[in-house]
Amino acid sequence: MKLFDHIKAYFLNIYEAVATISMGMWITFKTAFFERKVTLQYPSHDIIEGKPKDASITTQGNLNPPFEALLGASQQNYKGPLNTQLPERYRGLLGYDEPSCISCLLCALNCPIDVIRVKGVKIEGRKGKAPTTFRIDYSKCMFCGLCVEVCPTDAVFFTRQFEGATFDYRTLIREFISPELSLERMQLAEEAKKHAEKEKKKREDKETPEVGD
Amino acid sequence: MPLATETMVLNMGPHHPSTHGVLRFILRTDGELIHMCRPDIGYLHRGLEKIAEQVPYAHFMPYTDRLDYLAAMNCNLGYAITIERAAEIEVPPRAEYIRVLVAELNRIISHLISVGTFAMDMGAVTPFTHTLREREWVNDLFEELCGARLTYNYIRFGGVAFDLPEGFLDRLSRFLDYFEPRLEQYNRFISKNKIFKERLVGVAVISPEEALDYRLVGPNLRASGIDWDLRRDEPYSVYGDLAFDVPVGVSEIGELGDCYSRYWIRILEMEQSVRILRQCMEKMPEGPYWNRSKKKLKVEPGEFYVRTEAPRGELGFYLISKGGIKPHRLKIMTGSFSAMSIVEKVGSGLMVADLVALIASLDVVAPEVDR
Amino acid sequence: MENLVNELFTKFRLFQQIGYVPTAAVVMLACALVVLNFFGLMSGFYTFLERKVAGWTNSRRGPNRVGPYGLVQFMADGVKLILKEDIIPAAADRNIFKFAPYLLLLGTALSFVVIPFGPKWIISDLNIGVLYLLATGSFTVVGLILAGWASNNKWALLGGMRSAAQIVSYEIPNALAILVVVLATGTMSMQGIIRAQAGGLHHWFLFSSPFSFLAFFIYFVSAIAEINRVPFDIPEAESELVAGYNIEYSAMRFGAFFAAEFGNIYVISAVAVTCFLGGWQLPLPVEVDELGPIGDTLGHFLGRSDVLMILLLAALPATFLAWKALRAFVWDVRRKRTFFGSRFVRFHSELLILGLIFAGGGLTLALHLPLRSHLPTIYRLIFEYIVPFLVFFTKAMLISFVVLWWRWTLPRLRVDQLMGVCWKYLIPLGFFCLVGQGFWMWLWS
Repeated sequence: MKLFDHIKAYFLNIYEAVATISMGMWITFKTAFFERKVTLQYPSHDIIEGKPKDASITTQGNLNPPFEALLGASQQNYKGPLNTQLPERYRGLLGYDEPSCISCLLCALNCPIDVIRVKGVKIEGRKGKAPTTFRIDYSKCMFCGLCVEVCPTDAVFFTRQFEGATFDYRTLIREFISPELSLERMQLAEEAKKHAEKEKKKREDKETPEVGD
Repeated sequence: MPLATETMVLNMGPHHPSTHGVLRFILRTDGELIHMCRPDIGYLHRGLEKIAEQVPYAHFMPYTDRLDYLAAMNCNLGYAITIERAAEIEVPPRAEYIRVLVAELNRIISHLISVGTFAMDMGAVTPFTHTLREREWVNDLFEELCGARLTYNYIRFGGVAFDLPEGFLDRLSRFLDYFEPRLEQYNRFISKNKIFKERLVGVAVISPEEALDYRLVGPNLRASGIDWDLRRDEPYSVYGDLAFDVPVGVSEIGELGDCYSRYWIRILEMEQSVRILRQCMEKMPEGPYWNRSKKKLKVEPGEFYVRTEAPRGELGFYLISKGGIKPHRLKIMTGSFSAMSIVEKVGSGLMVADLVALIASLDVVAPEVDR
Repeated sequence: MENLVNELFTKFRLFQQIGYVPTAAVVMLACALVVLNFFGLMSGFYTFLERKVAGWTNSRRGPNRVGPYGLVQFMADGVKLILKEDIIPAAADRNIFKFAPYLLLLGTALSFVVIPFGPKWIISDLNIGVLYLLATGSFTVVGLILAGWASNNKWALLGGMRSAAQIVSYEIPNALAILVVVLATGTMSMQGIIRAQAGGLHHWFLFSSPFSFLAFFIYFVSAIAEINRVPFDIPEAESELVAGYNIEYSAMRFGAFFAAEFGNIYVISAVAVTCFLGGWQLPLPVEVDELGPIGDTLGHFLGRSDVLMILLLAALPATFLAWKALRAFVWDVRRKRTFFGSRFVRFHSELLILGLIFAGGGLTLALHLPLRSHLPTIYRLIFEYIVPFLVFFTKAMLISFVVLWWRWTLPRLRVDQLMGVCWKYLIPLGFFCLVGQGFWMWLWS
């Protein structure tokens, strides 16, 4: 009886191997010939805009099938977020909107790795402080989004740009405020400061004789 | 007369296709047989615990993404719960459900990677790309949710960073409808494959006692037959309100605690995660998603230990606070680290090919080992 | 080949003047050139096909950038491999290290000598053809062990040792399965085996008896093991031994290993087709000698002017395609695109191929007019040489596709299990088939 069991196990082994291998082969065959490919052909496809870069690609029709092609007919309404386009909340390279910045330093303080450096001066006709330095070191940024989250005026925001590769890391340290503008603002601030001091002195001068009396 | 053979020392790693990151195993082998196997860790040490002492509490959140990059949401969650307990921050119910939702979704994709790389380590490349194909979809969903595909930095103290976008739950449900048959397909494709089973059944058996002795956690522990899951036994967040089973290894195929049961547990857990996700979607309450405090976060002096169930098992944060805005000490306990300790015990006596199966079955992620 | 030499020697004065031995040498060199080029082309094509199959099974696209459908990708890879630096480790045994890949290549190239391309196309129809093939197949193991040993790397050594154990073991079921066929035909010559399968599908050894049916699968499995492909790729087992025996190789020496591996796929497919799938026999009850007369008749039929006119009219769609292709071409020229970056090549590749087919067809049909009197001869030659080759090649491609398909479906076995499959399953079954085939023949005789 034991011998018979062994013989049975022997042939069951062969059967199981053949059955499961053919099952696996059927699945790969199905994937190879009856399912749509999921490749997004990135350089030929503009992910930010969500359309092919070369108009002639569309003539092929099946270059960038969305995931819905994988689904059955009942579930064809799925609009894949990335399959053709980046989503709204995408965290790309950091962007900076200079006019709305108030140099409150919240972004710089909230950055875990000190990627952002901000300096600002007080000048006339601008809410808060006017930035004279706004520097982002993209080589260190880890796209955590803490700076964007705390910015009260949405001056720091995520762009949907992600192609930041470069041959020289120094190009990744980006100054958003030109030296000229920075200098101009500093001069303005200096003048304003001098002006204020002068005013103060004048006032003090005016006030002193009165005290003297 | 026995044939005199010489043993040789074989360096498996730090750069090796199946060490899942930068791990090194020093093997003393007799041909293919391993006499001694010693894991040598530390190649990916980034000093996360030290960094935690340097930065304010909120700034450490992005670093937890890097703790276990395959399950960033779960690491976020564990850290957030630790600080919330320490600083006594209330979390709105919607945020709790969103947290469980993203954590379970992340568990699915983490296990997908585990299953896929397991198959790849056994020599089958196609299952890996198939699992990645599904994972890509979840990554798309996460990207829509928080803008990132891998290091999410999504969970905040007192809630989550963003509310669910319009129509997110519909898309998620569509993914789940797509995913369940696919899971079935993996079973037909790889789990039941004779060669795959031959390679795993009865290999590197870890008995329940050994598993407890070496502090195995998570799926690896449950595969050895110990019924322990923090989501059920010490419910945190809203896991207490959700109905789900904890899959525990039974020697259905092969032996209890062998590589195959560790693999199989992960497949079963994915099914349970789908179940949890469906419940979350049903019960998702309306309301605020973030109880955001304007004050600077400060933790009263004291010691706190919070553990959560991450895909690789228990993830514990031990926080010592002496007041102020930074922790005095933050110790992180991870599943992969304790899984590495048992490799030396179980690894000797195996063949080189089996060692690959053992490492893959323990689902070790190198950055989580070294932190 | 001997026939060819004799024929040339007797027919042409030139060859008589230079003597018999030089004639034979010239013919041999020419044959070697043809075979080596065919071998190189086939291995290149297989690298392309493998990556395409890999892409398809993985829900990807596979190579599609270089040339139409990525067909020229293998040339780009070859050029890359040739241009790369050839690194020889300092601790390696230099001479053996350099020599090993060529030994492997030699083994594969030698196999091509007895592989038939058609009833009259074979380099040398040895009367021990099958035995010769088994012998050249074993060349591989020497190359692999030498490569593993000379690299002076522990992974390479393990790979070499594994390959030795594997290939030596799998020689046995391989030979046993072929022996079933040899038993049935009573000859070892490749052409002889094919001729024995004449007369339609049910005469092929795959279908002629249950034992040779089983033998086909034994042969297939053990041949895959012989050429180290998944699920038996343990000598190079990527996730275990990193790259196995070829871990230290780079540049074209590495390329040589792969050329041999992919060339071997054609060899085993060709042998499987020869021994079990009727070789160049059509799956119809048509004798190969009848093909010539069929061509003859067809040539006579096509030579009739009314038939020719109708055919030429049918070629009209070609003009439309040519017009579209021309427009795409003009588009490129205006924008000064490079060849591979051009719209013509990249986006109208199917048009290009169809256009080529149609244009070729049209040209051929046009050639029918001046060649009307020679048509029967031409068609006779085509039916005698080209058609059998195409039949053989198609069958071989089908088998190769299954080989590649396996590669992308199955996990890899462990060393001991690999041996188990051989000694516990394939060899007993092989003997069973051998005995069974004898019994079967006795039953029907």
